[in-house]
Amino acid sequence: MARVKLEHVTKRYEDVTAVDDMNLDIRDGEFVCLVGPSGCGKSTTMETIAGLTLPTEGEVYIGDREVTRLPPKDRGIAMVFQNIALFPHMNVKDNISFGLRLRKYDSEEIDRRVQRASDIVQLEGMLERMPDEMSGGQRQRVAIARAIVRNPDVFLMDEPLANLDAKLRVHMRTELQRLHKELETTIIYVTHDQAEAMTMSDRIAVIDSGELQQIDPPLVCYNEPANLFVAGFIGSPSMNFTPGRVTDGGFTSESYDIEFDPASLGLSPGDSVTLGVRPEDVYPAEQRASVSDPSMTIEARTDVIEPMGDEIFVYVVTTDEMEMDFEAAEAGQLLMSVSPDSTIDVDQDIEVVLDRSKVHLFDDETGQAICHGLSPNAQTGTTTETETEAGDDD
Amino acid sequence: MRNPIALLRRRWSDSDDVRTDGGTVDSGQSFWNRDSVRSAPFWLPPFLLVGLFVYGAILWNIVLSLTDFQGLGSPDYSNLDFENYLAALADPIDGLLSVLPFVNGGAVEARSPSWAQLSVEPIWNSAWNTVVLMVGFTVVCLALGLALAILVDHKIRYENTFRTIYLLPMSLSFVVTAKFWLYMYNVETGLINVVITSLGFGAVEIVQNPDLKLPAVAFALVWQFSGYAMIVYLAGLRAIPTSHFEAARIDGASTLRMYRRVVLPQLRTATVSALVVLTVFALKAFDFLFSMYSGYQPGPSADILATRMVREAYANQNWAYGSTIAVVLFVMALFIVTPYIYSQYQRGEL
Amino acid sequence: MSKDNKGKRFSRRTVLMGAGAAGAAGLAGCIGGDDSNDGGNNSDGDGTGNQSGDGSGGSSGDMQPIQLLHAWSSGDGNAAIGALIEGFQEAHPDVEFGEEPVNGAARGNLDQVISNRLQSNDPPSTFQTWPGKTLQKFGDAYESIEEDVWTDDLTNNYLEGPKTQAQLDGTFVTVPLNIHRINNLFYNVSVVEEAGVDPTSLSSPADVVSACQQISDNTDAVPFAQQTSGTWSTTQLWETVLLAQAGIDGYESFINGEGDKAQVQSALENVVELSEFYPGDSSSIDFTEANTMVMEGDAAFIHQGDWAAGAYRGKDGFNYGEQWNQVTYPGTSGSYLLNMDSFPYFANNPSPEATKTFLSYCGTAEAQVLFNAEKGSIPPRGDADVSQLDTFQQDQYDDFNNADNQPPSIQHGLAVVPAIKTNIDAAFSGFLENYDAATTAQELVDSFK
Repeated sequence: MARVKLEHVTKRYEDVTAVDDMNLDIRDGEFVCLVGPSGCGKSTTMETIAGLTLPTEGEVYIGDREVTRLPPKDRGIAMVFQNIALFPHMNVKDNISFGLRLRKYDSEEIDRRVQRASDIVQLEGMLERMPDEMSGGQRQRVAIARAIVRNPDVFLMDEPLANLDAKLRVHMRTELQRLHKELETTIIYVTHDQAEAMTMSDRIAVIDSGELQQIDPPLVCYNEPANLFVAGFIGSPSMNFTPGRVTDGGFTSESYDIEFDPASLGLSPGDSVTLGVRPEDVYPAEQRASVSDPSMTIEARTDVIEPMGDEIFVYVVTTDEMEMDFEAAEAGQLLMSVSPDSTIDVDQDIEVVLDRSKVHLFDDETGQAICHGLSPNAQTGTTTETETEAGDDD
Repeated sequence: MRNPIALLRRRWSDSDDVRTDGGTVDSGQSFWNRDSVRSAPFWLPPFLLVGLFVYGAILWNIVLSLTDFQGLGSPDYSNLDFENYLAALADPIDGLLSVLPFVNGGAVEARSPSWAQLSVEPIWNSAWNTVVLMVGFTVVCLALGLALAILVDHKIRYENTFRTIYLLPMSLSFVVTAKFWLYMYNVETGLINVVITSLGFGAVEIVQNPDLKLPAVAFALVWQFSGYAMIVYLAGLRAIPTSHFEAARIDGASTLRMYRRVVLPQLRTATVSALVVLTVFALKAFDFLFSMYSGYQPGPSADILATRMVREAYANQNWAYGSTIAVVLFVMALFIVTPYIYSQYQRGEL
Repeated sequence: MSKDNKGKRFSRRTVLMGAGAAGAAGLAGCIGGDDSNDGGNNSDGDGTGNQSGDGSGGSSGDMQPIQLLHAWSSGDGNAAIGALIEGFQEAHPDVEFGEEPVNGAARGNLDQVISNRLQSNDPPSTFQTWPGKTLQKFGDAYESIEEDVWTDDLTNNYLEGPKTQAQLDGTFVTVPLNIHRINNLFYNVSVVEEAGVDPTSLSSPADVVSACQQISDNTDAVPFAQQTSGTWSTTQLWETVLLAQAGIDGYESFINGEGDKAQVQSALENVVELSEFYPGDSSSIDFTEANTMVMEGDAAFIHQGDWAAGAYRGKDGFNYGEQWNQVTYPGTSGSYLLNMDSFPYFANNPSPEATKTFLSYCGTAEAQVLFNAEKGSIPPRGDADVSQLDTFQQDQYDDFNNADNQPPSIQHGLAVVPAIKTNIDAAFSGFLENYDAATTAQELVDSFK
């Protein structure tokens, strides 16, 4: 068990920088997910921790030791791979005990440890099987047992569930969480699936273009995304973004306006900003009463409806359809999540409101978040005015 | 043209219809609908051709070896016996003693089979040379091929160029490579001796040196075919996921151990396929010897079963005895290849 | 070079001309050969032409094209066979010719082709083969041509040696076409002069060794050019030395299987001594390279058949009697060690009439001069007009006619049957590895068992 620290780690290949000045501090016993789209550098980051790749610059610490130049075997780590990577010519027991045998443990100790590891991942009675005689889930358990058996300080898992089918993946997720609770070992887990990251980890490290965007607990990443990228990446379906400008009285865009006091946020009229709001923070106007800080009403039209069972996703279009090109349609579209008993139909005029306390503003230039939730004091007085304005516009 | 099989099938099921109830019709149709039967036009002709011209020819050769066939005319199959084998494998103990290195024993008497005007020597010498060549050549070739493959697999620069360079010798004919190596082995001007003398040693006679002849032939063949072994191994290596290497390294395997315990066992299939082909090439060393020594008399220390066989068959027209040697050669090849094929079969990889 | 090209071109054109002529003539008739030996072989039932050996004119009948298989696919051999066929076409324009050189130019390949064709009962008309004991190889497949081809003209004019070699168990089955002599010692005049050696004064194989020593002492040249990658050069050197040391009687005893081991070993020991004077890389060179050493002045002597002189003819400024010369191998004067090519007659012949016509033509002095002028060898007939041959050939021809005996070569297949020759080759392949005269002598004597 150990803390893992990356300081200014940079990995450059001939013409690409895979990891750019990465600083990470992972606490002892923590379960941290590295997430990001394909090619963002999360796997390279993990490889530098594992020692499979040496960083071009920076240092890696595991526990109290600097391990930047140490070979993988001396770092006290164990790794589980996406393609499971069991050796096909060895049976389960030999696969699990491979590392122990290389380290010349005596056979009793090996047996004891293999037994314990296979108990933890529930592999009873399968020790003599060959990998190709097992299902995908069983093989992944063997791979995990192989990692457990060496009592590593840190587990590194590189998309270990990516090759499993959806149902098994969900099952294995809980297994991993149980395992983490039982072993209390630091786990660093790479995935491109934000749902996995949300459900399992203590903290999520969101990586894009080789740079760390944010590292925070899942709900913090969700509720207070540090920038546009995190806001868009975390959450499914993803956040609505509307590009616009700051005015004297707040935010304006082609589709709708939101009232707030720019000065209180240090903004001045004319600044380009993007407004972000999650689908569950968009409401039909008739539910205004239950919204904690409703915005003015926005006139819109329903476009596509996706019933999900426990909720319904409604795409509403806020700009005048006739004049829209594709890009404008994207910007003028809002996704709204409503309760399943709503009776909303397609191509219907509808009025929606946003929960101002859940609205995010992002600086267009830097992408950084300006605020999460608009201050409540500016709200009530302006609501009717905006309504009228909106009505006039129509 | 109507498809005769379809026609036949229709007729078959028609007759069933008349004779029995639907169930039997089903069984009749199911026979013709079986994949193996329906695909027969594709597999049957090659199956028959291979059966006749490969296995049939092997069988015929075995039968021929039991006759007294020599000279012109046609063989007499009425009187089959193992006389040729007794002559070819006479005095096994003395025969082995006479060919094993560091043992100077065992003179072997030539035998006179009933058909022969002249006595015939047993085949111990050429059989031993064949084994030495086959084993030496294949083992070295596989080892070198593996080493090259591992190097090339390490993503060195100009990888494709290297691959082509290593593979190129294989595309040359034995006649060319034999003349080439005759030149390379030249005592005065050949590259090998130029290197030896530049290191301060005396020039070494190679081509007609009884101690170096066979190694020299094996060396030339290794030069020619290690590129092939490399390609086969490279394909095998490429099929092993990178994560296996990484897993082994994290588990604490040194590079040597990683290759020995993780990579090599996964190259079994590649080894078997390379081995089979290389064994065949070793048998084909005949062409090389023929070109190098201007005929099928490479001398006792490089005489292999193939040269002996051609001498008996085509120079002496002792067809039956030549067939006997061919059968011995065939059995030897089986001995080398079978254990590997069998282990592959047991692992379900064939 | 130009000579070769001319020969090739000519032969191809003549074949076409011949074919065209035959086509135009249609069923003009067959020439040459008596039909008495045809038996049922010619299924077409010919018109039974009847005439003397080399006669002209004949009655009508199907004349199948001659299938001649040979390995003279390049060089002087190709020019020679081209000249022969051209001459034949002129004399017999109505006989069609299907010349088929077997690729690889190796006699071994040719023999395999013949062997396979005989196995499938499909013999060609005739093919290029050594006569003598080599005839035993396809013995049963040959048919006598004593009456149709070996007329008095041939029996009276062939010398005794070649005549013996044309017979299989006492019956004439083949027509020898040329003779290469084996017991020659060629030398580069300036090299031996520089060393102070007079080759004509040498009278025994031992003298050759001494002369080599002298050359080695006095010049930078290799004394004795020889190749040892293949066995054949060494075998023919040994047989020449054996003939020199043991005489014709000792030589004949050996080829009859009654060789004296001491004589055999003594000859081998002489070869071992000579091997000290070979080029250092003799095992990596071939005959052509060895011969070139003599031509370039890098070597003094070479022992070879007189085809070696063929290369000298092609080199400008390298003339017989001036830059190079030849002596009968010391100790073998009076003997003309024979190496011959011949065309035999197969039973079940695909073209009986035409084949016999052709073989009869090959038996004429005129045909043999045409052939040998290109080949560099000499006619086996004693009455040939050799004025068209070059000076060296004329000298060899004189030697031939004045020879006391014409023993057959072992290496070149005349003296022993193929199986024994295989054993002898095997013995020499071992000899080249270790130069162990005693062991090899025993193996050579045992070759006949």
